[in-house]
Amino acid sequence: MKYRDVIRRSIVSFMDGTIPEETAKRKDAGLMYTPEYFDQLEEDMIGTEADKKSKKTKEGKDEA
Amino acid sequence: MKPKMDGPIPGENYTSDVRNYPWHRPPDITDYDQAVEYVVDQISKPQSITTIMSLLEAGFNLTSIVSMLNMVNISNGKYPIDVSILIAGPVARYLQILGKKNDIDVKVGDEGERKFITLEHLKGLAGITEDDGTPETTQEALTAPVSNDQVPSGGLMGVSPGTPSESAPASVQSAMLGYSDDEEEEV
Repeated sequence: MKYRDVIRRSIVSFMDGTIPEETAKRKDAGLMYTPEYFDQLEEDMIGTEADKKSKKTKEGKDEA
Repeated sequence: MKPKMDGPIPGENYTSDVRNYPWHRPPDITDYDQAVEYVVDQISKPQSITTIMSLLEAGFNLTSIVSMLNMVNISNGKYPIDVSILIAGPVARYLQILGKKNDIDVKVGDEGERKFITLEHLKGLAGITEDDGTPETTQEALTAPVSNDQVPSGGLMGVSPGTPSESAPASVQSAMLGYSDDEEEEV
């Protein structure tokens, strides 16, 4: 697998609201840049309701 | 066919000093949030945002742009490759929001799609053309037929026909060769 393909997969999964398992564990410790943060940012910047898809946050790829 | 034997010998890497490469030193940022913040700050600079929005408008997808940003930062030793993979999503999402704000149709990019951002693309977007400070060399000028009258005689270094003769007179030439009529005075 090429670097570009890995980056693409990472982007697609984040857009779907999935974040890596170990990163998700840090949410309680104050992880800032989560899918929810960007949904809120989108709402603030554009003024429209954020994509509902990314609100269905799935924590960890295996759990999905 | 004779096999090529120009590969490195085992242990050759230990003979060169590699500390000068930023990616061989510990990265500046290893934290997820810090790395995202660094790239978001980098993108938010007026010059960067204009370039990135132009790229998105020109049809480049998020995968290409995020890969380019990551490559630059990895090669500068800002963060390691694994962090670059983790932050690709947040960075792309931020770019998507910026694109939506500017009414640009943003695409993630299809699997296997290869669209690399080259210097020529960036020059084209910046409006930098060949005639900006550099002499124009058009394709027509390069492919224009040359008439036989213009072909210099005497080979590649020969003087073109029509060029006034600038050869030195015979006396000067013999003087240059050391055949002078004037004998040096004996001391």
